Amino acid sequence: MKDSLVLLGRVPAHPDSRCWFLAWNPAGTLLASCGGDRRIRIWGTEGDSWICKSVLSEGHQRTVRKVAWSPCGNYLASASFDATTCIWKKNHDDFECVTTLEGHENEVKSVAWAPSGNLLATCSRDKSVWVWEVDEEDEYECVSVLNSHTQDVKHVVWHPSQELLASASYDDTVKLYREEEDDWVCCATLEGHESTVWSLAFDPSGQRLASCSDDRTVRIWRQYLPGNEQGEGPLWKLNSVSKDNNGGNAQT
Amino acid sequence: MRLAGALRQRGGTSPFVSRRWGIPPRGGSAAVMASPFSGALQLTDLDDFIGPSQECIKPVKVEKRPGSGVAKIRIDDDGSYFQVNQDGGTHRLEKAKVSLNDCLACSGCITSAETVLITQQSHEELKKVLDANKMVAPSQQRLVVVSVSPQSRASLAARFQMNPTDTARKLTSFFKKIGVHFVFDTAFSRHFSLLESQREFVRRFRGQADCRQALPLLASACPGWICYAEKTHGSFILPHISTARSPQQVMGSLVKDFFAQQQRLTPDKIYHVTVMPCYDKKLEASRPDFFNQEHQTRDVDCVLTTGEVFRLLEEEDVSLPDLEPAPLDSLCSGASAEEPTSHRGGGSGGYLEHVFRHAARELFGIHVAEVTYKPLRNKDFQEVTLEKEGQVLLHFAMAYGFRNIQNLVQRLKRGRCPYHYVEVMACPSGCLNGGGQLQAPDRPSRELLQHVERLYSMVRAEVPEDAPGVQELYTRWLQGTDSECAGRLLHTQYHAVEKASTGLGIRW
Repeated sequence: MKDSLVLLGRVPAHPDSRCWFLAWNPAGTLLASCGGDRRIRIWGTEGDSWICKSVLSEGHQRTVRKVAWSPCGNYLASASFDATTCIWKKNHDDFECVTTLEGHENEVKSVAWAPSGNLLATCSRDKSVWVWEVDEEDEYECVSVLNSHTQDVKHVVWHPSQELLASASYDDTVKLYREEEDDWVCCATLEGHESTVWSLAFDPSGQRLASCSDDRTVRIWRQYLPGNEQGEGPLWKLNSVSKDNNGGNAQT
Repeated sequence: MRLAGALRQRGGTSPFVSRRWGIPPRGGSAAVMASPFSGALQLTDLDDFIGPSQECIKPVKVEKRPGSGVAKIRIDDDGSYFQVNQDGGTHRLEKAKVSLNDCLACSGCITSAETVLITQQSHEELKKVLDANKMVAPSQQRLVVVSVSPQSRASLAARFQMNPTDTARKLTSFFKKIGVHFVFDTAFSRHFSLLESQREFVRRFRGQADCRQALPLLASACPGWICYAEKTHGSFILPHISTARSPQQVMGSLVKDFFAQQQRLTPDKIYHVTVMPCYDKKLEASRPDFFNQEHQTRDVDCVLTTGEVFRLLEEEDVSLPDLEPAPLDSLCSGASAEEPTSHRGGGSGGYLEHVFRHAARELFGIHVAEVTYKPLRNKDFQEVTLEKEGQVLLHFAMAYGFRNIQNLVQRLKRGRCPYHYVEVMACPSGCLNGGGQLQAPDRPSRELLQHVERLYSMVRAEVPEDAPGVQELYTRWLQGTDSECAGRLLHTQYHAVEKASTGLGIRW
């Protein structure tokens, strides 16, 4: 018998507008959705049905493009086309906006928490990637502004175990960043895609990075550590290219 | 002051201007793009296509005429646009103009037109003026004055392996060789900038009870910072920015007002060039506030970056070390001209240090011998405190680079800024690391910067209050330290830029 997906439920999430993104919380009990109606909705189950537990509506002036749960599950970050990123703190079923990260010049396209929980990355149409640090008092400060891309940055994602950040852009490249002395630097540029790179995903071991692009390919990149048999220094190289009909989102 | 690790933002323009132009700043590691102004190569890469002013932040003000909203537009053979009203009457429509100043302050309209605008302020223009002088009688010539910044001089000294004094003398020799009449040092005008900043701080500190927006006071010498503040944070931040002019613009006042009078010339008869470590200074020079309406002339006509002076040397086929050193010029007889001078407190002018020491003395009677810096989150963000019996009397900071400025501004907005004064500079590591400084492809940029810093600090520092010629000028030229003249010639103002939000700006 073939494995297949069974539809459990359907909910109208964002009336008269697009639902742009969904994110499960780390515990797997809540689903956050965000959309063109500028709202974020938190969904949970009650018995067999899915209900909307919370609506976060005072945060943004424009479409909310992406939401991301912190590794501990107590915070939710939302990135919006209004150029801000809100940080929401969970208090039972309520969410309170504890701070708004400002600074990007225009639409924020993506936000991602580092596995450590005290770093956050955002990226924007203004071509930059920002790294933020949060302290024990929930104070967020900008740690670095990275201007390596030459076009709109679509997606940022953190390595599952190293403090390594990856970004994908309309400039057809993937860039990797890490901290060097007291600032973040772009330590690698992965070229090869022939069009916008829309999304990225690291595999759980962190050894491979998948990227998908408007050029209708999915590319897998591998990290070569110092002293490997290839004789290469520490870097990321293309491992394989697979043609896919849609070139949609890559999730491993 | 320690170096910052973030040297990758060197090259071309300050991080602020680069962000606006969408050009990644030149970095120590793989350079993505050469300086925007490296010449013909760059021009061919640019195209003239611009979307319908999506990014243009200059609000094109159009006078709304009363009457019905319907009209036809007619285009004549010569390209003029005429509005034809319903009654048949016509009137010529004005072209929307975007000036150099607007263009450079814009957030992202990149066309070859902009490059053309900026090349108006280049060594080519200086050559044109010098060539024009050769064609006319001395009485018809423009008096050409070049003011060199200590930072540019240090960069050139490093490149040519010379000490600062020789560099200053040989630069003077070079400029005079090509037809420049006087060569000054902006360290002299910096005395005034520092003194005014000191006075302003003490005044504001004392007046805190009356004015909520008095403190923190933020330094104003960096045009990259000013442009960013005007464009992004507008009326919130501007009241906090010091009104003291930068050394470049004080020199503009000195040359076009004081020196012009001395030479019995009207200011428009002087062509004033400054040599600066960055491109943002070109923007500063073209601000309307520094345009003399009466004589239709700018206080600073042309800004050359250190790199442009280097190119000028190459084009003139001159080897700077081989020149005979010339004596240094000085603006007034009181000022000594044996060797260049400087100020303590780092390569960006020493604002924090001067304001701090002066305030400690004036407000609390405390003499501070050595200022101790405490690095915070990174080396471009450092604090200085004055404490007495466990109480913090003064809390100052220096914030260099975009990320630190971001944090500072956000804290200010939330009312959580603990500082009384902040020396704000757009470039990581300060002016010595400006986008117009010379680079050495064969040397690691950190090492080069350290060399430039060493050469910069070799120059003898003067205390502005005691510097020869300064007090004399306050009396003779400005008629006193708090006079109307001093206010007009040594201070400036800022203007918030309104963002014109257009629906055209939406892009997914």
